[in-house]
Amino acid sequence: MKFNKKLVVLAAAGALGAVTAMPAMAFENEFHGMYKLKYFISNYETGGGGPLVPGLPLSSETTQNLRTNNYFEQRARLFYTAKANDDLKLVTAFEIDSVWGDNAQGSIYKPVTTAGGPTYRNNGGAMESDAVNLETKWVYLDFKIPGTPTRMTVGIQPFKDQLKGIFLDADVAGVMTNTKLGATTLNVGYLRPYDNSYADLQGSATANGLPRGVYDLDMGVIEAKYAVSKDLNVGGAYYLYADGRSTTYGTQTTIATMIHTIGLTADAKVGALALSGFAAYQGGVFRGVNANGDSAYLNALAYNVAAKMPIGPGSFRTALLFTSGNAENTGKHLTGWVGTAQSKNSNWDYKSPGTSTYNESGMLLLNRNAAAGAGTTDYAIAYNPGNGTNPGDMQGLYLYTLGYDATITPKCYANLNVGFGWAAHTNGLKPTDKDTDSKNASNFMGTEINIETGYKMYDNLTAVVQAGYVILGGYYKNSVLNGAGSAADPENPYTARLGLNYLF
Amino acid sequence: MKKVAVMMLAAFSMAVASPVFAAEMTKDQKNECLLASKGCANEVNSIQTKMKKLQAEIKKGKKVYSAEDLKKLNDKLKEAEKMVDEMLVNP
Repeated sequence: MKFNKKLVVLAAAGALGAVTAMPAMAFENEFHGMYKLKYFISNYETGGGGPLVPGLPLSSETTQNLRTNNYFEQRARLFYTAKANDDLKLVTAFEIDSVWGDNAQGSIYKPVTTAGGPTYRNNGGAMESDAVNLETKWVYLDFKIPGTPTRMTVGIQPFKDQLKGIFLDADVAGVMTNTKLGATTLNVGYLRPYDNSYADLQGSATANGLPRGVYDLDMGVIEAKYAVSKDLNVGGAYYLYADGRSTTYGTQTTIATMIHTIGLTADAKVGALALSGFAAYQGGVFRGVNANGDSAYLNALAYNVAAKMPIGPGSFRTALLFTSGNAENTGKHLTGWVGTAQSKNSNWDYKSPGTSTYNESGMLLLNRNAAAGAGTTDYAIAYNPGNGTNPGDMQGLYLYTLGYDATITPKCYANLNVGFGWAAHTNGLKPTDKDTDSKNASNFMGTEINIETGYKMYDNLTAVVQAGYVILGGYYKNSVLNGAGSAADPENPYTARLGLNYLF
Repeated sequence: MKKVAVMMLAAFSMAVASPVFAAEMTKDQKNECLLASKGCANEVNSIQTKMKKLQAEIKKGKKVYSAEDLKKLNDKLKEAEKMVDEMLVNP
């Protein structure tokens, strides 16, 4: 039998072509990330986080000669996305945080009190490093349901509310859907921040005997946005905070908590002027707050208006945030805005890391602004947008801020910010004047002035200088004792940071 | 037989030839790498480069891209901007 040589070659070429041909959409592996290094000089910041209480830099009350902390902090974030096509991808994000000189090489299980240990997350900056400190920040699947306008994100993912973060801005596990129908965008989802059957396990295998998924903190999300025109969007949002755990808020224990947060949002462009804002209400119940099994009820408010306009070589910003506060003796009626915080093991107190933010302020120290943060350093005077340490003592907040973002040259920028903060309500958190032994009349917490300048060394690398100073208000007058034992004002907080930001 | 071998080699080399890189696209050509992840061999972009390229492609407008393609490119640009935000601003 005689083969046609040309046919053989064509067949071989065809086979090879089939093997090496590009599919309709090639699988895409995307790697991105960032690295931030900052050198801090500050009288209150120490590389951790939480409410910054003027006069209480460490554990004792003092006002004179606060020691100046200086430290280097670094954070790297690595992102890997496995993209099968535009409608299906797995998103992962990892984080490594360290303060230079902190800890290294210790055992993960070594108690904090043991020399050299432990080393785990937010560690590994001491000599010889080698710490187990890689954090998994996100792992979620993002896909479009075929034949529908709905996208789903399923897994451990970032979530930020439509109220500019003052209720919830965190990484959390859940299922979110995003549906676009003409001019309407609808987000509906379920989040599960805590399952109490895992509480108190502390890494041990011993179960606490609770059934899975029953005594949970569950959150529900419904957000709608409607584009009235190219320059006007209006929206509504509803967030359910349903905590089936018996939670301790400060010293107050409850059987269960339910908070409904309802908000209306809007943003518009009027010529060059950009406006945005929201109004929100919280209603809720804290069950079993005393031995009789009575409930305490929550009615709280928040609103915000913000404007931005290009002027000269940059743009001018101004914003006002209001959150309502609790009175001294709340009884069974709470009126303080609840910005969420971590409540691991059913405990929420002044040490609980925040899960709510307000970045629009541009502040470094006056409120929790994640955009100006660096890494694990996360201090602010009004750390929670409710300006308290737990739902029982929120003081509420008036925060008025002004800012100017200037582009000096294509490689150089400078931002200047000024902010004024007041407690909306007097309660037990207000400091006492050590001279008169009564609470100060003033609710004015302070004025912050800060500046940030940056220089682009490369497209991907920016050198940054930040400096902020808070002039404390009458709220803190005579609230501490000085070295001689007399009443004095606490030292004004300041921070100066020199840093490098690499983004790729 | 020799002839067959040469022809096969030629066929093989054609089959595995690298696609044209995105950077070599002319003003009137679509960037298939950005649009549909095709022909991206050896191409790794930083997030800034990716955003710049997307902006450049979007600028080519309807002369090169269909309305649907442009929407896709705009969505990808928004996705990249969101990623930058999440890298820097996420608490």
